Amino acid sequence: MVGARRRTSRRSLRRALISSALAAAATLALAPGAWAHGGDGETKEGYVLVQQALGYLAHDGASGSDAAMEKVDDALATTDQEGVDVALVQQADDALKAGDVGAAQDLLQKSIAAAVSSLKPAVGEDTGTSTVPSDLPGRGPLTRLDWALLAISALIAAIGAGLAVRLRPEDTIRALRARLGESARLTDQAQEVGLR
Amino acid sequence: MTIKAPAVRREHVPADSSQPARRSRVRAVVDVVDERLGITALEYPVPEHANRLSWTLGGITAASLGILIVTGILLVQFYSPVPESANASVRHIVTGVTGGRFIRGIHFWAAQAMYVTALLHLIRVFLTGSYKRPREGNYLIGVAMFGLVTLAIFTGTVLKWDQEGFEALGHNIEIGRLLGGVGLWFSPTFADQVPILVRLYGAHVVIVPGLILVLAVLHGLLVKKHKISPHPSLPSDASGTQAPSDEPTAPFTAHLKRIAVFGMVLFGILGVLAVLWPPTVGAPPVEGLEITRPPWMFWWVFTLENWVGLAGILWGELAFFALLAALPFIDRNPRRAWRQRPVAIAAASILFVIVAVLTTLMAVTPAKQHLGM
Repeated sequence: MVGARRRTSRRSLRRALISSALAAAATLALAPGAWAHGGDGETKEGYVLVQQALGYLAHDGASGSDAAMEKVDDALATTDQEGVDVALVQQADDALKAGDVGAAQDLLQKSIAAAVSSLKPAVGEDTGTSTVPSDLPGRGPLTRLDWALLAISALIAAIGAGLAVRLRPEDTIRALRARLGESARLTDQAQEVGLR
Repeated sequence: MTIKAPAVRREHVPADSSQPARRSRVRAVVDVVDERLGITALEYPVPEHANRLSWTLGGITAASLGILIVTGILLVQFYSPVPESANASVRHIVTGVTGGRFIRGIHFWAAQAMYVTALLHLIRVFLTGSYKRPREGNYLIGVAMFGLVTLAIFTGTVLKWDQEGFEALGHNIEIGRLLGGVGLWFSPTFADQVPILVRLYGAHVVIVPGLILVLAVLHGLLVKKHKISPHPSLPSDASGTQAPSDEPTAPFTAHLKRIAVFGMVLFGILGVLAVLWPPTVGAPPVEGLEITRPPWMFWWVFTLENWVGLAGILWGELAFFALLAALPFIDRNPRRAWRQRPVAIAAASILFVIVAVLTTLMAVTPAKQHLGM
């Protein structure tokens, strides 16, 4: 009985493993498919192009310089430069070429001051973005408050873990199984005695 | 010959009010409250196997929800759901409000915990066959709640109003367009004088958690009505749908105590994570860019998007939830032990591996490659 159960278990496990391996292989085989999703298309608005350059710099820092320079070039070449100070954009371009990302961010932000100050309140899916500061990192060095919160959190977790051990169920599943098996055996015996 | 079956170790015995027993003050207070609110109704017996960690995952998910609600209430005091100032208000919470970074960190990590524990609960329900008759309806409620948790994470991602959130919103708007009339609510033209961020804020703080709470109450009531499903490696009663009458029981309040202590452990871990790895705040959004990755639980559908376009997200999610919802109606095998359900286990393993491989592909793909521009 136990042997048969083990065999069934092994067979099930083998089937599950084989089908999983096939699924993984099939999924990977599909992987070289086309990158089908594209962007929203190039905008002609100069201040948006400048914001896009700022977006690359804010998100990627110096490693976003190449993408940002492309956007700056587009901003310099576009026909819609309303509210954009082209001279400042040109200076930002020079700063980027010189590798000074901070100065470029500053100049780009100033170059669109007129455009963003005349924006109407955002509706629908408008971003409402006027300035594009860099990503805010998760944390700096731990403060005294951080240490206190860390200690309190660790204490709460430890107390909880202690209580969880203290309040754990008295029986393991194996013990419960044995207990219920014994109960069933005794009930069967009682029925047999009753029949006699 | 007298043969005695083993006695049930712990059974709830209602307090005998006729005995003038000495009562502690706490007990007296509990009695006063109970007389008015009937809290001892919670002391109904549940089988002992239900007090194991794996059978408490639903309760831990509820504890995560509780933490999310409390921290969410604190966060909305300082959050501005207007596009012009949303990102700045999140930055202010982190840098200008005492303990703000910690509260936001707990909220962020509790959302991850809720997703993970709900998923683990779903896997436990699958492996132990707890979705089988007569619990199919309650299982569907659970699947709906899992969908709502996913939606809550999505709307929460958008509320940060950084590039990641804006790109997530952009995808959602496109998917809404693919859905036609069904996706109208997600369209910015549905209420074109209101920023869509404000409507998603309403969904995040009222509609989605409200629906989760309603369904959670219904879920709990149905668990009480159908009782905890039998453990597949233990005998069941004659109907095969309930634990045997001779399995030891404990009052449901003992189960609640276990949930409370696991909730404590969870809160402590979330606190540690919130201090050591608080979530970042991205730069305010810029239209026309696609340079971020979505939260990890959406990676697998974004790999599909890379392959087949935006429809991949829509059809991937729909297929996933349709499969989950159809499970009790496809799997008619009455057995509960996983070893005796080779077809269901093999099918679930395939699904799991597909999602894991798609997720891994996204994890090793640089974010910019996702653009496909």
